[in-house]
Amino acid sequence: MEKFLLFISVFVFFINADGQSLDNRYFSYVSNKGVVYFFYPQKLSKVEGIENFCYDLTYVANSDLATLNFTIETKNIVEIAELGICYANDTIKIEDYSMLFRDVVKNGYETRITSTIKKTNLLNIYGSSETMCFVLTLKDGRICKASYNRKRWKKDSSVFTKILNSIY
Amino acid sequence: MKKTIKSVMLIAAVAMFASCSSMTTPIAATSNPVGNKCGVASTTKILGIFGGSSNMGINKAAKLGGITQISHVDFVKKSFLGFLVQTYQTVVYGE
Repeated sequence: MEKFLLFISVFVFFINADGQSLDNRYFSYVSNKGVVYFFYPQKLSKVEGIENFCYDLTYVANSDLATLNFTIETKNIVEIAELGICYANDTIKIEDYSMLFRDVVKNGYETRITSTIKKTNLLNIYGSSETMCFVLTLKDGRICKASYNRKRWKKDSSVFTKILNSIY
Repeated sequence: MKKTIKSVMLIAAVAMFASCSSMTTPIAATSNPVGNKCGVASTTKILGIFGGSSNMGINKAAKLGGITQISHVDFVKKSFLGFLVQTYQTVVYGE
């Protein structure tokens, strides 16, 4: 009886743990332009030159481009000169970006940037075994970086690839 | 008998801690068409005490999404590990 109950406990644990995996990653809804997929904000733990980095993605089905919004928290006011995403041995330069707003927060400044990225590039990035890394070159020449840690990348990249492949 | 009670309590504890519940409720809707922009403002509370930013208003969510015309707003409450970790989100949709 004891062993049976223990088995049930372990079974319940794994059933629940598995069931919650994709619900927290994204949601979709229907807009006047088609089905919109919103990928929840992802906070990246490995940062250099900035305090915090968080990004989210919005993709409208049947379009080539996804909207990539991200928030950076810095001690000083920063002006971005160049923005790129590194993965494996490749770098995707993001040309089309603009600032949404800048707020004063407890530890400095919070800057929100909006940009676009091609779906094919997203598939290449998430399909890579090497972690993706956002590289921000500031106007004063400093380079700031934000990336996933390896363990989380392994898990997240496969989930994101699975979701992106399911979108037509 | 005691062992059985302990085991049942163990199952209940495991089920509670492994569960992740999510509840979405509507907050507001306007006459604007449903846009393809989305903004999320969220906060996470641990034991209802510790947590990050408490600003999860419609204004914050709309700002984060770059939304100027709101079509509708949802509120999402998620619980992890039973009642220990709770995440509250305001989701704003629009253009």
